[in-house]
Amino acid sequence: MPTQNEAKKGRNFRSLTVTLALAFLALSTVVLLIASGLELYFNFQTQQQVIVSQQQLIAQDAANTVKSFVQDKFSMMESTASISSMAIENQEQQKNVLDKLLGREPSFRQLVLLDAQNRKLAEVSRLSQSASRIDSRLDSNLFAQIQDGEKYVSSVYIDNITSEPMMIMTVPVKDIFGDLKGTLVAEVNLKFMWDLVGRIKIGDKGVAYVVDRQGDLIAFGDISRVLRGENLIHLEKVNDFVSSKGLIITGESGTSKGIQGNSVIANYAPLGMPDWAVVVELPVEEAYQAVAQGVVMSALIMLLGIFLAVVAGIYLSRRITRPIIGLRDAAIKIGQGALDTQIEVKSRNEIGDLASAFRQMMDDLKKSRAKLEHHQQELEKNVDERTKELQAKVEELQKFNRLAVGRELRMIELKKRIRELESKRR
Amino acid sequence: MIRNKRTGFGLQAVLASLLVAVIFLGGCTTTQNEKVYHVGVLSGLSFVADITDGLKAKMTELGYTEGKNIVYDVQKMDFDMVAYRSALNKFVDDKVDVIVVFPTEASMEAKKATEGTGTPVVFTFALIEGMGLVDSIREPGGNITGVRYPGPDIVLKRFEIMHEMVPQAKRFLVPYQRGYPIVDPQLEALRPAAEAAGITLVELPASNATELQAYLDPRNKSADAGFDAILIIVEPLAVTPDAFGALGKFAYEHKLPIGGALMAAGDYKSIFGVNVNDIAVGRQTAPLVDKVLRGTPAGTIPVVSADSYFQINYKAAQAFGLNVSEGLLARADEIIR
Repeated sequence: MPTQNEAKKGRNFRSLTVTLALAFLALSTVVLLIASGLELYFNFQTQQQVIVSQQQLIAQDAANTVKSFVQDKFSMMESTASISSMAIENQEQQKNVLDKLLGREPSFRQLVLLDAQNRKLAEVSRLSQSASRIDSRLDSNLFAQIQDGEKYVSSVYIDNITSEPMMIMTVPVKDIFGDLKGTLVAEVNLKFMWDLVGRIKIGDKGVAYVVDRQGDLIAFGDISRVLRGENLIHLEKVNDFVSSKGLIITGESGTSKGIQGNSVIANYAPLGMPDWAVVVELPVEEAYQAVAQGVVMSALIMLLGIFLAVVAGIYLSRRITRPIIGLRDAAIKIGQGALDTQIEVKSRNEIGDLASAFRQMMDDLKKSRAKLEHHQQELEKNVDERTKELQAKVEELQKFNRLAVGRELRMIELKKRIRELESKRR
Repeated sequence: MIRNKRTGFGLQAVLASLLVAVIFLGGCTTTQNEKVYHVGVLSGLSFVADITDGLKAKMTELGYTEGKNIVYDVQKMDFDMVAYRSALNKFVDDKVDVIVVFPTEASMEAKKATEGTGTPVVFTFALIEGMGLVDSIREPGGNITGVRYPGPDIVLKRFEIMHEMVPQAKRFLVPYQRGYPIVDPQLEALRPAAEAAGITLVELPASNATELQAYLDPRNKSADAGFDAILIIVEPLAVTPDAFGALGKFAYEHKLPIGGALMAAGDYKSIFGVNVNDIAVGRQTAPLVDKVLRGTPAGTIPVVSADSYFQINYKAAQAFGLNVSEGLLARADEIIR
């Protein structure tokens, strides 16, 4: 008779417990995955919108900070030009006014007062006269820009000696009637903007920097990169600004390569005047930190769910299959003749009914067997009795036979005596 | 009852996987020993020794706490090439992470001493024009970078301010350390400017204060000292207490304004100084040191320029009977009254 394991192997046995547990686990996992996936998707969408809004606000705020730096300089120059009546003062007075303005604002490296014909009236500088380099900037291009009496900001240029970014700012000098009498020109050292930009807080690891319309870096926390005269047009957002014409802040927040070579969510805000943009970058991992935390939390919950599903699956499948296994084991024992095997199944379901039927079958079987045994005993008894009777009759017959045979032999003897007697008589 | 062994499948494995996942997701907290950086500081001119304080203050702001994750070996001295060399060799032998050095001569010596050793150098308060210290401002090259001292421009500015404060002076005494490398470029810049302004430069090279005194002594008795003002250029002799004491005493006794570097020795004070702010320069140096410590090759970090700092000692100027213009006072970064 083959063993149980051999039988299982032979039939490519697959445990119902395992099947049920796996089915339960698979179902639970699929449900968990779908639920977590949907939650993550909507969470991501929401977070992305939040990031876009935040980036736009931060970029605009940073742009306002930088713009205020330039506007402050304009305000100081305009105040000086209007309040001090520079247009009508003598040269010494004009120089004194320029001295005061230079002393008040450290970012002004040089100041020049031009008359209406763009001739130099007065000049002051932080540099020595021989080191003064503003004259090369006072050319026809600049004069063409300032002739309409409007404020003007030049493009950024790099100082040959210090490698620092500089620019020219001009304001018109007008008399009391509003007639243009000259121009106040300032050479502004933009390194004084570096600290301002370096202090702009963008999250924990985010950065802000300023680029001009050519994509040249003009302000950044890492001043060595500014001094190196880096052009950042290869960066997506900088390229967007350089290629764009208007003052639109982008509403996209896709991942791009940042100024530090990492993956960032970037945005920019153009200043208008001057024609620069402030780019703000936030590392992807920081931008999506909330999403990442959600993913981790969902993963943990999912793992916990899977763990519970495994436990529950094993428990339930065992609970379902235990009576069946009990019945199977009982059937095996009964098959081996142990009709007294107890079937301990008390389920109130179909399996319970099956067990009851099995028990009933067992009882019936036992009764049938008892009856059979009784009949057998009866039969054996009858057989014994009949055997005994038969044996008695056989003995009787044997006795009779013996008697009959004796008589026959006597008769034969007698006949033989008779014949001998007859022969003798003859 | 027969136990079906398959029903206990992989439970342990699942639990183990869960544990691993929790550990993985929760992150493993491991403590790493923080590196302690060793910085050798060669403070080669006591006149600007405060640079070290500015450096340390900014380094602290950048996250370096002295004694915790950074150790400074500060070697203080005045101009002495032998002592410079000895201190620098010690830094190299000690394998410091970076050498911070000032002024120019010590920086040049540092470049030489560290060649081929891999020890990066961050100079500060150093003139680079014509000194061969760096290849260019944007790409210093080698293993060196630093904060540039705007030397030629500062000496011209000193000259212009002296001329503006003392317009009647036509002869400027210019004392300087004999053989000091950065003097020649300054004089070369100064001479044409003086000629253009109608000023005569009375150049006085000296090895020490005694030589200066020896030059001044015979002029004490003369009605004409041979010069109308004393201009201190960027060099290490006139800013030593002994030398300035001698120059200041002579200047006050003869009512000859002395200025260029803001100095004081006893009652003798210079009328103005154009220099860089020591503390500010030290602070400007720190981010470069930070970049080097973070692994950026020093030779790829652009040189930073220090800003000039203009101070007027108004009281001293008045003592010399000078009338300082409002414009000049307005331009001053600091007025000492």
